[in-house]
Amino acid sequence: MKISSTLAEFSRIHNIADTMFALDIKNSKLPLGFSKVNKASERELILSSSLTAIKYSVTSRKRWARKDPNTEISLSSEYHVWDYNDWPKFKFSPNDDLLKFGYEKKVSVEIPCMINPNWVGRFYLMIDNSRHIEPQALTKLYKDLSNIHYMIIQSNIDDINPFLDYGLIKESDIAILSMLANGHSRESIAKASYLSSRGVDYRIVQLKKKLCASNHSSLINSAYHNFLIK
Amino acid sequence: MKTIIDRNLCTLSKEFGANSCLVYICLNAPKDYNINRSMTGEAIGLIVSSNHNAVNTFKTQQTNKGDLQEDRIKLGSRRSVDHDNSFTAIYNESLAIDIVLLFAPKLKAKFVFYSKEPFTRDLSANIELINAKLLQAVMSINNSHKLIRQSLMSMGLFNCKTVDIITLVSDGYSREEVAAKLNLSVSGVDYYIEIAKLSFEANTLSELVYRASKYGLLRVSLEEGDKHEN
Repeated sequence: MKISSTLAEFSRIHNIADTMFALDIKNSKLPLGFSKVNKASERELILSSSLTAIKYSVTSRKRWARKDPNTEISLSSEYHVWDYNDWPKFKFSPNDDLLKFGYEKKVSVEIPCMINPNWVGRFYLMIDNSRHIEPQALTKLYKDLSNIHYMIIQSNIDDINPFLDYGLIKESDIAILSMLANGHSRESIAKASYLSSRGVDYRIVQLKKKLCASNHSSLINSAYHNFLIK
Repeated sequence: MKTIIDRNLCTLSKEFGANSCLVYICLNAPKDYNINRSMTGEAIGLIVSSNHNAVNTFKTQQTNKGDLQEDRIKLGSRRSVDHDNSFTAIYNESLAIDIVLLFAPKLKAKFVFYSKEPFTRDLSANIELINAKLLQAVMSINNSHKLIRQSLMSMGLFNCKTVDIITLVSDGYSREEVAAKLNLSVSGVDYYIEIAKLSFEANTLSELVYRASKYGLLRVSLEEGDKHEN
């Protein structure tokens, strides 16, 4: 399935210029000290309906993600209209970038995910006219968005994992997790991943923190449900 | 074979242009049926349906066809209900769709739709959207009726106590805490874990948790308020 064409069709039906999608981790499930805002500009897996949207997304995140107070609000709220009224008047603002790419307004919508309660699908709707989204259209919008969310998840679950995209979990961590899940001992994991067995212990402790687990079993459970091991 | 009537399925069947529908969980690979010797041999544990007529039709179909495992319904394939002298069909057409459960690769959900008139809509045209909708439906049914857990229990695959213990352990409780919670001794908990390891062919606790998650068993426990009932 071409995700971009699905997103484009959705945008066309709802009279929206472009739509972007990214899978996100719920805030309550994040390790202490990890900031989604800081990592937002480095994310690669933001799926878009058109090339303009991709360009906009890359530029604006690089330039504004850390400075714009809207980023943090949008990453934790269910529905957020990006608002720049409080921005200093004569300063170059994220809104100027928005206009440069031909958009007027940006709305972010969060869709809860039943496959994994720790995840949410986050859609960014780019609107190119000053039209407000009417409340009665919103129900249909939400329904369509959640259908798209599950369509994307069903076809691309292995490619869009937010833990990997945020750089929270590395490929080598996945190797350790899957060996652990298959019943390997610390020593054999150490041998296979060129670490000392104390090194393996350290990595496992770090993984437990990252995945909010307290023992090996809950680590494996959490890793499994976050689709880090198959 | 237990039955639950869920009115929410009526809306779903209307969306597909059908009169009624039902859903059940079954195992992907027939050899997994041998995991526990005490298995009762029932291939279907629990059916959730929109009304009784659908269940009756389904049961008659099953007895007519004989062995369920030989029944390989391809995704979206269409066939008509066998007319038999022993039963007069209320529905003329049936449509079966398999849904892959992303978090439980050992299981699949089967939807069966019944209609008096032939299915006019070309359902294969947008198979991704249909899958997404059905996935949402089966997830919400699972949340409200604990479909997976109940199905596997009444298939006789797993012992209730074993599942409870693995669930608690994978939630991060220690063996002592599990023992206190379930009014068992620590060695009693160990006994159940050893039994479970044998039936899942796992060597370590991590491996056991991993194998059990593949059946979607630990999933249900992630939600609050789902503590130990039979």
